Amino acid sequence: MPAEAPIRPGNHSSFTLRDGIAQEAIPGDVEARIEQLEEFFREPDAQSAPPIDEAEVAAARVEQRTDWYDRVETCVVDLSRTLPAGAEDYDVRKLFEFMLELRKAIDSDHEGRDPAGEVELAKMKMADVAHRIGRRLMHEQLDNPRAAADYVFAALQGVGVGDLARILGVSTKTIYTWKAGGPVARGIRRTVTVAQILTYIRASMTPLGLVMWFDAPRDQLAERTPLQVLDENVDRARPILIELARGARGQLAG
Amino acid sequence: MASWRAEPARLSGEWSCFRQVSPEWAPLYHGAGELHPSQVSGRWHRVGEGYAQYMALEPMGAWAEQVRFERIRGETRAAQYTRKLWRMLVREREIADLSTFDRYDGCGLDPRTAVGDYAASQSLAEELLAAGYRGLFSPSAALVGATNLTLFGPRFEKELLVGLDAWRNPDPDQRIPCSLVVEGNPPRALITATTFANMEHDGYRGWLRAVGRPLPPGVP
Repeated sequence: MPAEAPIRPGNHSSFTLRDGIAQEAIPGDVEARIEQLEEFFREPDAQSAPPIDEAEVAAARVEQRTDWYDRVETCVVDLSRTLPAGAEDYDVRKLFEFMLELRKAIDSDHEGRDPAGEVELAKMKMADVAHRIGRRLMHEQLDNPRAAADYVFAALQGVGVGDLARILGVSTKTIYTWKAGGPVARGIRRTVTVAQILTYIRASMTPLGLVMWFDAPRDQLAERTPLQVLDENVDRARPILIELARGARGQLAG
Repeated sequence: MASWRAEPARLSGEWSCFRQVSPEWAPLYHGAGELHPSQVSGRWHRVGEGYAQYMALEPMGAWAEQVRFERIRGETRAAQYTRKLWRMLVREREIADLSTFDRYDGCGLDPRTAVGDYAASQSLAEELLAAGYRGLFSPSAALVGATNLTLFGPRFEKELLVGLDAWRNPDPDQRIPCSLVVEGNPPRALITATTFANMEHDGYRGWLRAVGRPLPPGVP
């Protein structure tokens, strides 16, 4: 019997919405719901009871999973209520759709063993959607320049003020001001863009690696560096560099 | 009408493959319910048109893709990366055998498609998909001699600590068992061994020489 790793279906995220972002910028209810949902998809949905009687064990498994499903359902409904568009939100609709799939898979699995893997698959799909909602919210929060600057400082912890100034396109004096809590009133678009880029690559490299990423010539940029592209025009650079950063998610045959 | 003269062989079987991903993401690419598929364009798919699972038959092949994509040219930079390298046991069918430049040529396809820019390979992928193929083998552009397996469409992983071979896959069309090999950075040897996009591909050029064809100017 193969040993199962702790399952985190479809979601290997190590970020949290508050990661490096000012506390007041986060809708706490939404964050809590998403984290709770992700936790549901990490934990096993049915654990074996002591093997007294096969039928009893199966019944216990089914009951346990039914309880688990009820908690998932409550959480999804709560989440839909806390999002601005509510049940009209595209991803929330998808979450409900996959929850229905999960319900059907559970209902047709009378022994709680999930032999066809349908319960697990539906969980992974729901985890994909929950993860996507979490990311979307994080990106929305990072449109706030203060949150963006804090996020950049957290991601580039230990990086010198000179490098931070180069990447953010402001003076070292401005970096000191921002770090001291001063208003982020200049270089806003660039700071937001850098923060958005970092969300895609920070899990894959050290702070030094992140700095090097901005300084390394890339084939995808016709031999220019991301920093050069940023220096030329922030608004044009944004979609190009975000696409480049998103490519870091997983192997693409080169 | 497909661009090939002879249809690529359709393979069925089980293959051990490798794939490296960012530590925060799942081993395979899936984005259930996405309005527009989010996967960034790669050799065998275009962004927004679906998903592809890019794998290599050799671990060094998987790492070389990372080195090439990020254009890692020095040890210090390589050491800053953290990636998860996964081993996957792929049980598949209808896989196009374009695993060598000879096979491309034998089908009447330009072998350059395997290692050149993406426009030709993405078009070929479309044709393969339309002809019912579920993926293809192709020579690696990043590491001479390595072979990649790419599957069309989303797949979901079954993470196992051990025993990939023993797991009874309830749905091979959608599920792939995988196991973590290592969490680390690309091996130093690849910094010099990888073929970057702005370099000639020695494997492709060696094949051209072997069959007596002229070497094109520029890359690959």
